[in-house]
Amino acid sequence: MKLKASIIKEFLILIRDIPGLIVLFLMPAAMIIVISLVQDTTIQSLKGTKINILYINNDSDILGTTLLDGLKKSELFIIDEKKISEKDAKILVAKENYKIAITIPKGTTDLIREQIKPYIKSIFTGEKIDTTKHLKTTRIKILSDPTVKQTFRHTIISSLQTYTAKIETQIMMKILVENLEKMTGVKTKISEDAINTVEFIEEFAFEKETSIIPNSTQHNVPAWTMFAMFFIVIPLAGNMIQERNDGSFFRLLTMPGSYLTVLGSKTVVYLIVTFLQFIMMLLVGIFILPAFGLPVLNLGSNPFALIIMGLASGLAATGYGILIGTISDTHEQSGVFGSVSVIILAALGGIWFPVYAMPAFMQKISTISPLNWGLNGFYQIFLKDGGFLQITSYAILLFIFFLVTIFISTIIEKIKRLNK
Amino acid sequence: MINIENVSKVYKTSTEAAVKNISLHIPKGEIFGLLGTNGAGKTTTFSMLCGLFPPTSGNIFIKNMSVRNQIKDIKKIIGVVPQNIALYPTLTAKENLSFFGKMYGLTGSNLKKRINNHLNIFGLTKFADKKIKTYSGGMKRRINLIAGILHKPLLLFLDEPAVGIDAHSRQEIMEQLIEINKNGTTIVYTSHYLEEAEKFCTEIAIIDEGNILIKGKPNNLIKEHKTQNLEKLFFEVTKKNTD
Repeated sequence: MKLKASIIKEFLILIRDIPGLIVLFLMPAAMIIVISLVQDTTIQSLKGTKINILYINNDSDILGTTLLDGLKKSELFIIDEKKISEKDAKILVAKENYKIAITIPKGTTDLIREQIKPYIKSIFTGEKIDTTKHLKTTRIKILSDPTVKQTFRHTIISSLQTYTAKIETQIMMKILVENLEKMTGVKTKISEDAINTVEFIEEFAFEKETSIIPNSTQHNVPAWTMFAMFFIVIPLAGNMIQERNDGSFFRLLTMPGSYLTVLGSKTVVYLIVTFLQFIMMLLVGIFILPAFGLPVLNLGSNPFALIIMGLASGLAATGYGILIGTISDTHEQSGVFGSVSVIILAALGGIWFPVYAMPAFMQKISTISPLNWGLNGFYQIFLKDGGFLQITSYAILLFIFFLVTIFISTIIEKIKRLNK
Repeated sequence: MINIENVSKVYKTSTEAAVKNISLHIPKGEIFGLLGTNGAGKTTTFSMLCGLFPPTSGNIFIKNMSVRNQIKDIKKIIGVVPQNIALYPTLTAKENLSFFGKMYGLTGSNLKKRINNHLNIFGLTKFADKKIKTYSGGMKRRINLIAGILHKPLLLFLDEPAVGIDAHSRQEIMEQLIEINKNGTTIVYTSHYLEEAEKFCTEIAIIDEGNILIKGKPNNLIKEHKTQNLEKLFFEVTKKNTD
């Protein structure tokens, strides 16, 4: 009866706090839409819709033209070809007319031929090559705007390296064939297709047949849902501090009933809130994100596992909010400590940057973040179409985290009160 | 009803005792006034009586139950009216009283009847469904009081129940408290309104710097100290203590 009365009280307080409700529901929805769109735009830009590249081809031979064709084919860039000096190219990039400029030095293809010829000759004659004499290099220069991300620069360099290697092979084959023709007198024609025997096919390794296609929506929705759920610490901690400041908490302590009743009612109400947030975020993924041209969220084939993970994550977030509300004495403390700690836990948990790409010691630290457990659990469902078995360990960890936060909160409250 | 035996309280943040080895006996049916200046030790004593924290030494017994070991049982028979307006501002008067009543175990029609009855007595029936944040100071004080008496406690603790409100509202609250006392509730009351305490209390104790300086019936004390009223008596004894 007392718990029911407490739950009703908490519910009434919550629904009458309009700014609080906006924070709880509209802000996470806005956040997931904005972040998904921003990330999708970044991916789209990598597909060549926005990034301009200045291409200065001083080679006028096979390398210069093949690289240009390759870059055009890759659909990653918009290529503008100009005959200007490297100095002028640098100015244009510095002025942000182009994000990147690529300069191919004069005679690059000839240099490759010169380098290769002695090696081919040595194959037929058995002569030893003086490597120091023949080792000449040329440099393809890539000038980039400092704002261009490292990953993007690496993509370009990687593409150039791929095409250069291909051209080197072609030149080598051509010289080899020429030498063979001279020796045998037989005309040989080598098809370019013969060089391209290896194809790359990307396929996701699922344990079973699934309709899930890992994409930005499948990654973003669970990640930002976890983040938003944990941001409940601010209104929840604020509610607890307000109750203490109003004096109603003091009155409650003088009444029959356990402190756990007070925490229990907050847990029930805020668990419902986090679960509603969770449902709302899923609906955003299903209905709102596709309206902006993003992929539709696929919930997988295990709704039961999804509900368990939603509840476990909500419990963990609520427990953490109660802990922050117990530790903090003022709204300022809870606001700063709550938000900063959630951001740290999110960063550690892999919300912004994948854990597997972190340094080894950070990967170890990330395993203590409840957001990491939640995210991994959701990834099992959203990216691997996992079921109850796959999420159990994560759900249990989140539940234990909730129990620990409630236990610590009870102890801290008692210490604060009795140790006066 | 209450036995305070050699109770001292030293806060962990302080080296000096807030309450120094005090002993008091408050009989059943009294309206007992614990009077003192700010920082005299009233609120510390009040908090220990309510079981919020234990004394550093000594013990307090309420109806022969120790606040150290039997606080759960004590909480069932006491009512507390804190100095702050300990209500939820976004809830209505009815919602606040319903919640606090249920926390005392009241339910159903009994709870509803008591809420309506008290709202009627304190002249707040027509404001029952208004949110507390829209109330005047005097109205909030009255609801604050009702929340502490709704369950008809045997012992009622009042910490400055009429502070910061107009004379009319104060008078109304004090009259209701006398009625409650007549119905069998022992009242322990802290205040710095000495004139009010003189009229209202059947017994008083003056506390200063953590010590009980004098204790007795207001009229007897005034006669004994040959002063005109409680206010003069208060200044006399607290000045001596300061000197």
